[in-house]
Amino acid sequence: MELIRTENLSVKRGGREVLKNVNFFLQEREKVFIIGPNGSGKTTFAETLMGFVEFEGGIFFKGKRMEGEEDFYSLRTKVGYVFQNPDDQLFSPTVEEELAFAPMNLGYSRGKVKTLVESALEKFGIRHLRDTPIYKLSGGQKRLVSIAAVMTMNPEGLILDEPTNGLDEENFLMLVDFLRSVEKAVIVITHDKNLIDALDWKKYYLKDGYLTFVK
Amino acid sequence: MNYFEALGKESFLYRLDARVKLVVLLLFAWKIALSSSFGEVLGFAPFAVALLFCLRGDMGQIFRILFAADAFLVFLVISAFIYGNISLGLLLFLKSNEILIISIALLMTSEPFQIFRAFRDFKLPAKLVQLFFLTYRYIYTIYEEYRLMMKSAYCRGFKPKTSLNTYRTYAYILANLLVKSYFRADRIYKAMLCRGFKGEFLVYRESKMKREDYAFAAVSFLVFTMVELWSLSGQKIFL
Repeated sequence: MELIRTENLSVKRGGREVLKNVNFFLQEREKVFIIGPNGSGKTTFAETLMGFVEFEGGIFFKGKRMEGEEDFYSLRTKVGYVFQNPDDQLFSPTVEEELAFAPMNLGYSRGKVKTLVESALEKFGIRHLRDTPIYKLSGGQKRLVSIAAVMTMNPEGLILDEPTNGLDEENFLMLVDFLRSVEKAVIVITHDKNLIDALDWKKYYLKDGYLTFVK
Repeated sequence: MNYFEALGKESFLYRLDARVKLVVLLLFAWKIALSSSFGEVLGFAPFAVALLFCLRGDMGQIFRILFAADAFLVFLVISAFIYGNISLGLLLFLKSNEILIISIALLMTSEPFQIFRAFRDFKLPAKLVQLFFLTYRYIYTIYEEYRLMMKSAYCRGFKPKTSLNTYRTYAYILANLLVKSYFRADRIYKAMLCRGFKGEFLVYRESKMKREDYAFAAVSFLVFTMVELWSLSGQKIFL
């Protein structure tokens, strides 16, 4: 069943057409890579899907056309977006508050928020960082927390922008394991050949504004 | 010195609820600041000194903070002396130091987030609290970026001098910091929207008042009332 679809999606930035008539389709629980050279518009594509960039054409979530802020608000609570730089994403004072931010905003009960937070701390092996201020985390720890913070929303889909940046081997393997086992639709934007080789997923190549299916 | 961490983590002051500490601080600071009597101001001094001892922190660090503030206050005393009112200068010096000591003991023993949470509990405007909080959260990141840029400059032969090149370099770094901060703020807002933010910062771990919070509040109010009663009855303490 369809989760996200774009129809002739075009984006102009600074007078330049960054995305040109992009037609993209992602099914529920489907996992894909979006690869491409620097500055090819991969992050712009992800931000457009999340409703942060003006576009022409259509974006559909579960068959419904996204037309205004309300639609995108709903989409954002169902598709988790992990930013390229964790410092742009993590703003709470401690790891625990960071993980609780989304479920609290979604109006979940305290009990459910606690369950989600505990489960994320456990799953990502960051229980020992619970009370640690965000600015004290290392780059790799910030990356894990940023993914865990999105997972506490229990989204149906995930978009991860360069998720292996700053990860050491142990955390890289943990991420690969997580991506393999997660039962959600996933879009990974990456340059990392090791990650692409580790996961045998469909690949889309973005260059000069055109998105093409590779495998 | 790390300005981003609370002082005296071993002391009971650190464990106290930030709301109690804020109320006590405001009460004492308000009274000391408005007082024009040496006796009354000195009456509060044992309380300030007792807090300093309870802090059990790095005294060198505390005195460095006091010294930095006093470096300015000394000029005030000198000015007062020049204009023939030395007692006013000394009173201001004493009042400022007392307020500063109480602030260090009560404010700097709280994690900044606890203080922001207390502001929120005191019904300060939500936007103001968020502003405080985000400033605190990102000032370290911006500082780190500044340090990185400075390192990058040093790695390429930069030596600060009194020269146009130095001013230009600092201007570039400052401009870069401003632009980066602007873009970062935009991305953070997007990140918040991505996780259901609707304009209100919700807090997961709420603070609860404990027995020692009530005890500290009671002792503080007792000291405050005693000094006030003494002062009102016209008796002078020490002087």
